[in-house]
Amino acid sequence: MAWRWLLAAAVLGGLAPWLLRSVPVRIRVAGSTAFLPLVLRMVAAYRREHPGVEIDVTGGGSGFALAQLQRGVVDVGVSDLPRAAPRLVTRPWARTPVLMVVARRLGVTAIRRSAIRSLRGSSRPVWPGTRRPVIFVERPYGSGTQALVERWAGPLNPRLRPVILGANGLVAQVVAATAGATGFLDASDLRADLVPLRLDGVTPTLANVAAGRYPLVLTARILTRARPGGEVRRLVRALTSTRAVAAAGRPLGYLPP
Amino acid sequence: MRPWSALVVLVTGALVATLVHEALPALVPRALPELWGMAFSPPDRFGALGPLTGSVAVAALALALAGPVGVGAGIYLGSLAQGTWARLLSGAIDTLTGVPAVVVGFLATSFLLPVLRVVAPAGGGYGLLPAAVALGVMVVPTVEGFAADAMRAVPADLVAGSLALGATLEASVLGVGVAHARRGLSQAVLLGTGRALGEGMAVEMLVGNAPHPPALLAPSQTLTSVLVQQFGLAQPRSLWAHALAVLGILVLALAAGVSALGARRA
Amino acid sequence: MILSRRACALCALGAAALGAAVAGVNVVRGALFALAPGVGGMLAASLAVVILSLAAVAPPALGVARERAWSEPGPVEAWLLLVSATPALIVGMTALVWFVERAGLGFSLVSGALGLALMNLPFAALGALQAVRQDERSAGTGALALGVPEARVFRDIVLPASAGALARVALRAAARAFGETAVLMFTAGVEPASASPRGLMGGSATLAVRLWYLTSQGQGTGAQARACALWLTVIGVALALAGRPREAPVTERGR
Repeated sequence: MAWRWLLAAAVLGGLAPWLLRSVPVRIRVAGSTAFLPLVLRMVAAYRREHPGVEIDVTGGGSGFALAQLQRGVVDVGVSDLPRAAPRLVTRPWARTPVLMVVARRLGVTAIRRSAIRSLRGSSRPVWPGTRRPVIFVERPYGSGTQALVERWAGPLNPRLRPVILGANGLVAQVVAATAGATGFLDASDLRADLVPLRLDGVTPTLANVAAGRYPLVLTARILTRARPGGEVRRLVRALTSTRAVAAAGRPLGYLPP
Repeated sequence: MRPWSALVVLVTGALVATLVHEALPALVPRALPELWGMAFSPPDRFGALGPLTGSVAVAALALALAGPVGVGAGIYLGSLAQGTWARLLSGAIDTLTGVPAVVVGFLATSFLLPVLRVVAPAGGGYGLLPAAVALGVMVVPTVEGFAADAMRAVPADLVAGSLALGATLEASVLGVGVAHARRGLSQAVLLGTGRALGEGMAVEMLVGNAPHPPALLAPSQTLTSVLVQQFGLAQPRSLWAHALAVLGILVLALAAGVSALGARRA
Repeated sequence: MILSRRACALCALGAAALGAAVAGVNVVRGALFALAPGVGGMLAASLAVVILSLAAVAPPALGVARERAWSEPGPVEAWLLLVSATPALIVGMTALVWFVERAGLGFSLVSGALGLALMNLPFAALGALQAVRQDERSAGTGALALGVPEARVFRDIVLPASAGALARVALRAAARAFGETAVLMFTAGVEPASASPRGLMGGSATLAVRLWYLTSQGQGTGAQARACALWLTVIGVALALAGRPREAPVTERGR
């Protein structure tokens, strides 16, 4: 008796993935949170032009996108990691400045690369001109921002104990609440009680990024598995159009590559 | 064994088997160079000892906070309590049961972290202490439930005998009843510990997740916080993913082991 | 005839429940949009995964209860008790591998519901067993002694008599599923559903996952986070209080 039920359940269970997969095309996009506002804006525009296509967008970070692309769970990934990704196809996509921020009440507004490097290398770093210790707020391995910062500003002294936070929004929160703290984030997470520092005398603006003067620029790429299907290819072509990135990106703080 | 039971046992067994299978490549000797290191920090350092110490410490601390409250409430509700106050207290604890872990974590980030940030600015307020406070709030109902059960299982004759000898009700319950239920009460604490060891979300929100040796008020790691943060990020079939599955086995062994210890004869 | 009429009826019932859940998602999303943008959709997603997961976990739990209602507790109960201590996080990791990746269901409400069902399986089976044993074992034993077949005794005597206790087990399972985060963040995704119209095959954050995500993004002070916390607390507490065991056996409280 019960075996009969089990068999019915097994048949249903076996058929379920097949039944559910015959639902209309669904493209899954995931990737870097630093570029999520731009992805959402461009995908919304694409949806308006192609009403039949279902697109899921989720953040999750660059590392998440790479891992899930390889698992086959995600179709389009946005990564700002320099890390190579085996068996994935990469296309350059967009750029955005990374800001080094401190709490407004700290009173610091500019810093040079050499000064940052020596602070990060020191075992007891102190803000120049004050006796306030520097508290570093970092991002974990797998963050494109962190990889960029370590390349430009050098590694932290291993005897320091930085705060490591999973998202730029949290970095903003903690740096704003802690005089003496400093961290790196993108423009969409900037708040009024934070000051973005001038680096080597250059203010972080899109114009300075475009002119190649601002040193800290994060580059995102769009990734798919090799030979994506027609719908995915169409979406990627629309996303990577330089004109579209320029138009949608400027008001949000992004530039085409 | 009959079909449905067989199915349920099989499915739950497969769950454990999947985890072991995912971890297998990391379990061969010398696959993980720093398995007993203090830092779990990809891409090259997969030390399990640091997160393990963090997990044990945070659970112990949580039970140090919640154990007395839970056991006390359990003793009171399981033996002494009557009438309106008992109903109110029991209702309050049942209400606490229904508050999801993530809400407890959210409230702690909103109200506890800003305070701790003033006390310990260098760590951003994160650490084992806030995580343990949140965990403590979550395990009070578990401990209370099992402690009250243990007290209800005390034979009424024992307490009545003590009363007949002229002891007050409180003295009888605390002296004779608690002595009799001692084992059950300690099992209640163990079951609470099992739950605290396995909880991930609230801990991840509060512990700071930095690969440093565990500290009360500086960012630290626990097994569960590492898993919450990194399991979705690791490339499938990479050493990183296998190392995470090893941490998963540790969590499962700790949580199920301690709970089983508590469930024995409970 | 391997697929009996009852099996067909069960399939039809399942399909109807699926349809009702899909319809419910849209109705609730429309009605509750007001509190904070996106919250209605996430509330609907939360309720949909909870209902689906209960539907998936009920047959095995009741099946175990029927098979073991008249046996002494043995290795099956011991095993279930042991695995009921499996942390939700571990279940979530397994669900990612099984449902999202291997079964190809992707980040979707269906994957989430299956993950929740997996999490609740030992708890629900044990709870159902306890419910049928504590209530009507004696009456059932009488009928058995009179020669009535076991399956009929279970259906006609034990089930009706322990319906209340079983419903309370279901409510407690629902409360656990409703507030669950660790399982769903690995299976159903973290973005709210309001971005596009989608059904159960789409990913959507539930209230609990969204609250965790917002807090860990540093946006825990916003209206959406507070609305999520409010709904989670109100419904979670209501379910837990409604499902609280009557009188003596408090054993599962807080688990």
